[in-house]
Amino acid sequence: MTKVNLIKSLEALLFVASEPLKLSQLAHTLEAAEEDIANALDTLKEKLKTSGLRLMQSDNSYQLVTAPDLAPMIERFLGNQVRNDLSRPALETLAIIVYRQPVTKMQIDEVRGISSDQTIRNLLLRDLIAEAGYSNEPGKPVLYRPSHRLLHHLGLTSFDELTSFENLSESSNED
Amino acid sequence: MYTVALLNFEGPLDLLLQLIERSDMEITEISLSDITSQYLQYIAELPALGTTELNQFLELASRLIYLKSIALLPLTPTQEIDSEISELTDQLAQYQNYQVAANYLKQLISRGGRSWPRQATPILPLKKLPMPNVNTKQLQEYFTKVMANLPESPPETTYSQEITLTEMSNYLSSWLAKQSKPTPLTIFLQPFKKRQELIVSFMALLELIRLGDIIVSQEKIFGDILVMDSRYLAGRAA
Repeated sequence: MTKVNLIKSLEALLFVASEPLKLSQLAHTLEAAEEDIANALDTLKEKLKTSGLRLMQSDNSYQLVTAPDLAPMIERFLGNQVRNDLSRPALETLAIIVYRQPVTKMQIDEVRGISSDQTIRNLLLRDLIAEAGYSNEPGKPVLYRPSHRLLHHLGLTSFDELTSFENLSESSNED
Repeated sequence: MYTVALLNFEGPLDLLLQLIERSDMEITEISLSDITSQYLQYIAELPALGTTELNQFLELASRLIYLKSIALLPLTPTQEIDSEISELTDQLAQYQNYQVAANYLKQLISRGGRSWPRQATPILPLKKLPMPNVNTKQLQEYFTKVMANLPESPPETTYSQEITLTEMSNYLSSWLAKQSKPTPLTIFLQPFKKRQELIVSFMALLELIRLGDIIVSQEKIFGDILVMDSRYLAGRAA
């Protein structure tokens, strides 16, 4: 398949899919090497920047989403009331999971100095975090990572777009 | 979560950080030992907490008291004390950084620029119909036929009552208790006709022999096997 056709096919596939698609799934469906797919996805991402859609990437999966700046219009259309009611414990726990992913409950508790049981359960229920297998530590505790849905909420297309943890703490120390 | 005298805090580290911030100090050994009494005061006024949470507050309290005691007593600082101090200051600084990160995420979420994926799953056409040559009318006819042939009430099912090993053991012991002399096994087995009942009764017999509750004897080869309650034998010996 030529690169142009590959980009077109990827765009169509991602349009039809209702869930994020894994790189391996895309490669399998299009019978192309993962490397070529990744390459074509980069081009597609650039191409979409002038459109109403964005290519979102997380955990090696890809999904077409609406551009963040269109949010007010989409909200009007969907009639959704966006709830920004994340509590402080929830935000702290999210921050630890986002910046230290994948991370166990114990590691989260260590940073916060208090149990995060309830908070983690709520975040799982709201689909803002996801389980990411098990750690090799004794007892094989569950690992957590941020979910695709969290990326939607943040209006980012990848966690790479976040300001790095080092830069965040430096800028706060300058204040 | 816990509101005590104007401060709103989420946990022991959070409380300590807020106390330090309120007094415009850096996170250092001196600020920590200075703040100890305030921290203890807050703990004393804490509302009822679960034991785990209370534990977490108390654990930090004990660390602070330790630091304070070092600051007050003319001890030469050892490596152990130094590492205890730096462990706590590092932990606080790290937690503070994650609080900054949490605020940053909050900003991102509240700027209102979120993205949406597809809202509805597209309906995919069936690849192959299971019965390509059947039309709706035929399906309706078949369905009516099947419904007409249905039996009026559900068929009766018989469930055989099964006897468990424990039930059989209990039955065997109580039966033996009623016998006044050693009794042939065949008499005991008489009421049992089914293969499963015979197997269970034999297993019960073996179990009771193992436990020493009953004694089995046979006077001559191929003769009757006599069973008796072991208490019967004890009674006779006495």
